[in-house]
Amino acid sequence: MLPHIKHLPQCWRVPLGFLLIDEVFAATYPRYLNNPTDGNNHWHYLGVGVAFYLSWNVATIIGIFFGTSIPGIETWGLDFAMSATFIGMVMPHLVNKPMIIAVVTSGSLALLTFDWPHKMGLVLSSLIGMAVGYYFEQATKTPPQSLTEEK
Amino acid sequence: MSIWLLIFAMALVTFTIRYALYARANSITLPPKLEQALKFSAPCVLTAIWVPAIMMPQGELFISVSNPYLIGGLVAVAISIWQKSILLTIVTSMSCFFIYKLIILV
Repeated sequence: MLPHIKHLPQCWRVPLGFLLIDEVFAATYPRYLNNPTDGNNHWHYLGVGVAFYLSWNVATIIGIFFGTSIPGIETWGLDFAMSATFIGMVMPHLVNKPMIIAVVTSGSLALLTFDWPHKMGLVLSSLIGMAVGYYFEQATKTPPQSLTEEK
Repeated sequence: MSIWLLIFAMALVTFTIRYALYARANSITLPPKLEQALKFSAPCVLTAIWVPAIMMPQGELFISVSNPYLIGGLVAVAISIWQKSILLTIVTSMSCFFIYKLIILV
C-alpha cells in the first residue's frame, strides 16, 4: 500500500492505518490497481474501512448481549464463515504457477505445524510459502540455459 | 481496570504496527525483492488459516465425507475458481455447509 498512500498527509494516514485489516486490503487494493490515476481512491479505502469497523463492532455488541441467549450456538459451525470468506479471497489470486505453488506450500505446512505453540506454525508456513513462491517466480522468469536446452 | 489497560495496550501495539510504515511512507522504499515477495503474503497467510480450519476442525486431521467443513470448503474452492465472486462463494458454500451438516449428516 505504501506507494499509494505516500502522497497523503499524516491526518489521512492515521485513520487509514488504523482501519487496515486483511479484508479492507482485499477490498480496496484492486481499486488502486484498476484505477491507478484516480485521485480519490483513498476515499474508497476510508469507506471500506469504516464499513468494516462499524459492522465488526455492531456484530460484537450483538454477540455480547445475545450470544448466550441462543443455546448451542457454538455447535452450529458459524466459524465456517471465516474459511468460506478466506477461500473466496484467495482463489481469484491463483492465476499463475508461482502463486499456486506458494499457496499449496503454505497450506500443507500449516497442517503439519498446526500444533506448534503461539501460532508459530502459521507464521512459518506463510513465510516459507512466500519464499517458495518468490523463488519459483524468479526461476521461471529467467530460465537457466541448461534448462531451456533440455526442452 | 487492568482489563482496560490491557485492551488499550493491545490497541496501541496493533495500531503501531500498521501505522509505523505508513507514517514514513515517503522515505521508505521497500527493496524490490521484498515487494515482489509481499504479493504472496495475503494468499499464503489466509491459506495457512483456512486449510487447517476445514481439514482439522477439531484439531486433528479429519479427511472424511462426514466432515462438513471439508465438504463446504471444497464447494467454496470450486465456486470461487468458477465465478471469482466472494459473496457468491460465501453464500453458496455456507448454504451447502449447513444443509450438509443439518440434513445429510443427521
